[in-house]
Amino acid sequence: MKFDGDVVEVSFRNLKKEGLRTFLTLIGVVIGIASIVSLLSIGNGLTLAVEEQFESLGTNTIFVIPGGGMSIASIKLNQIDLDTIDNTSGVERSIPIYSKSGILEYNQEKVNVSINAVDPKKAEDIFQSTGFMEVTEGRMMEKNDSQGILIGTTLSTDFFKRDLSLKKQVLINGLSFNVVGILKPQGTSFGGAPNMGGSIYMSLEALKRLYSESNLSPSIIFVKTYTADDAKYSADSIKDYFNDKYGEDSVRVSSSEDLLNQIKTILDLLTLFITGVGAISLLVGGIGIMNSMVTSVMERTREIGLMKALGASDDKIKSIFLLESALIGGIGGIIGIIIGYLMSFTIAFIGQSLGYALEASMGIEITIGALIFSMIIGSLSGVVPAINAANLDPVVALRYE
Amino acid sequence: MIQDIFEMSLKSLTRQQIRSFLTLAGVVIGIAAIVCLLSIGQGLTNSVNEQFEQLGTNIVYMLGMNPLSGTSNTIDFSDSDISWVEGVSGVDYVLPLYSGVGTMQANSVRKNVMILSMDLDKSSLFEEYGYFDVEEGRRIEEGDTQGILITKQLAEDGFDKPLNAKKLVTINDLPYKIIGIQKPLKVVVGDYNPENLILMSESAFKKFSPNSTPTYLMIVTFSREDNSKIADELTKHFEDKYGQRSIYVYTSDQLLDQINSIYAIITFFLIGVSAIAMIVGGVGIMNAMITSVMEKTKEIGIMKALGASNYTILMIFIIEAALIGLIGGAMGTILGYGLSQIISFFVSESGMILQGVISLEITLIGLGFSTIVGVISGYLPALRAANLDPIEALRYE
Repeated sequence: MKFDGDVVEVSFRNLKKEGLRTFLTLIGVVIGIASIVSLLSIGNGLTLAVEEQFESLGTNTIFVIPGGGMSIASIKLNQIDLDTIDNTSGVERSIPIYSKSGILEYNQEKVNVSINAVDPKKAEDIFQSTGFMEVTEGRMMEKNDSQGILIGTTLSTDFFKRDLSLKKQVLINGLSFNVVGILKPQGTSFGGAPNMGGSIYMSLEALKRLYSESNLSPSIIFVKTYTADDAKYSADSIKDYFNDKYGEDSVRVSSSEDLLNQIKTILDLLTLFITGVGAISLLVGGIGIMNSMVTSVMERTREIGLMKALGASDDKIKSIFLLESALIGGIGGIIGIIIGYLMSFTIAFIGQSLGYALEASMGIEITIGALIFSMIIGSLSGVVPAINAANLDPVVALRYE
Repeated sequence: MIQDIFEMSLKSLTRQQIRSFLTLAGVVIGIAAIVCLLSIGQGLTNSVNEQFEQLGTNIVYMLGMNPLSGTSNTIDFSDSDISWVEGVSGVDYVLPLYSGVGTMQANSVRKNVMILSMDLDKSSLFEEYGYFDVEEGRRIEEGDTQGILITKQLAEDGFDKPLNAKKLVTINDLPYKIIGIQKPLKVVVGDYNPENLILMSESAFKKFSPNSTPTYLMIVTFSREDNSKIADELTKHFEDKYGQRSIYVYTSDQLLDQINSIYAIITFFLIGVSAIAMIVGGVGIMNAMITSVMEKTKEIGIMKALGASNYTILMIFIIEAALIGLIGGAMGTILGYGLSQIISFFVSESGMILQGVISLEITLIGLGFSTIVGVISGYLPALRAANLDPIEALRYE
């Protein structure tokens, strides 16, 4: 089959002649492609946003969570366990975070807060590049600081009638502490973890004032390895150690890549499902193309007869109609892609101004994929009408009223 | 007269069979998607509601943590807290639920398991729910201080060889005997169903973990009307005691409303996306009608010359479009119900509860929406036909 100049010219002329019908058929394809493109673009944007958050944490990170996050009560890790993690090959350093809850009192108002205790020096080293635990006002607490606490902006501004600002004194479970620093707010990804705005941070020394040491056990341990490759192997050996010691599923050990892959799989499935539902409209659009091609062939029965009588081959007739439907698909695809991106960026913009880390992504895969998809739908829809046209008997066709 | 119009519309549909068929197909697909999603969405909501009815709707839940505060730590409810709650007017009784984790060993395999415990003399509300139905052995009672009930999945897959009732195991090195194996629970789609679960009596749990306090309290009230009043009273008392956002109190009504509204949002969103297909179908109807009007230009001219009013012509084409919508809608509704029943069948096979709903409401939505889309899509082409100048129309080639 050859698409020579004549074929292209005839196809274009026909599309233009039936302007209104072509326009409506195009609209069908445009709507279908636009909804697919915008859904994919938002879905991809979400995945990218999650990826970015993980990358800022570093791909050489392992999370060790006792109890596997299965229940509130969990296994208590001891110093030997922590040392074992530190001595695992590939591990650069680790930081255990101890979490407890307490009642914070300020101006006679009480709020239940989550208390996270860390070694301040280790925390600075390990979280430095992540933006996690970044102090915007005041300073980090010092190593043996048993008085100073860091609070989030939400706790500082939203919880009390009078703002809880720097250097203010508060009571936690009845003991007094000083606010030495205020933490930068964390971005929340759409559907992601809740903003830990109600959290406070203090040193281990400070936590020991509130709870006796025997009651303390880390609720999560961040482990940094030398390289991203190490993260995989070190995670496996840490997992083996805990499985042997406490039994299967006793401690959840996941590298940041594991977690990222899990979240990505879920997001991808969701995007696929919703795009699938959106693709139904393109199917209907394809049927629209077929319909308008059938009509077009019927209306031009005489013309086809004439072309055949003047020596046009079956192939040539076929290619005229195939090209026509592929053009509808392709042009509709291009317009649909543009509208789809416009929609997704508008949605992302609205989402962002509402405070969600919603992003739209413009990927070459989406663009090319949608264009090819629309042209395939166009061509497929044109196959049957084009064959019908090509198989017309010229004598009968010329007689057609 | 109206009969004539109908006859004419029908005749014109049957004359252009391929075109009518393809136009119909567009409508059928769009409506089928909408009906199927509505039917499944309604089915999900129904099964959630049923489960709640089984558990009873006169329950207030109180958690020792508040998800809104962003903390994951719990406050410990003391015995005096529980007896205070029992004293609140309108409260029938309180069922504290305990949970914990432990390392279970059997067949020399060690595995971390989740333990759930409650006073089995007060647990009647879980009975109807099927929580203590056993497949093997017998159910546990409050007097069983060393007997446990385990899930079927855990018994079958957890420890190399399947565990049977009467098997001796250890949890955190304490000896226990499996008294019964729980019948698999039917869960609603999307519900969390822990596999590594062990149930024991409160007396057994107190021995297992002497210092533990309840994870949450199920507070059974005399009537559901009292729920919100009691919830307010609890919130006030415990927030005064433990601080703002230290606890989380919700009633079964609130929980149900919340779940229902989540389902409603998801269903609504999916239907919105599939309604796009219906718009494309509508554009298809418009296209077919424009072609139909064009082909019948001469015919319209003759009808007008013979005295047909603009209104009659308008009605002929609008009814033709509405018929495409209605017929497509009827076929789409049937197809959509078929799909939802097939999906329900496969989901039920996999052990979850789902029954796609067939209701008058959904049927009317399917038929109504398709007919309206038909009429709207047909209006412009019909207006074009009605406004044709008969002289021009008769001359049309």
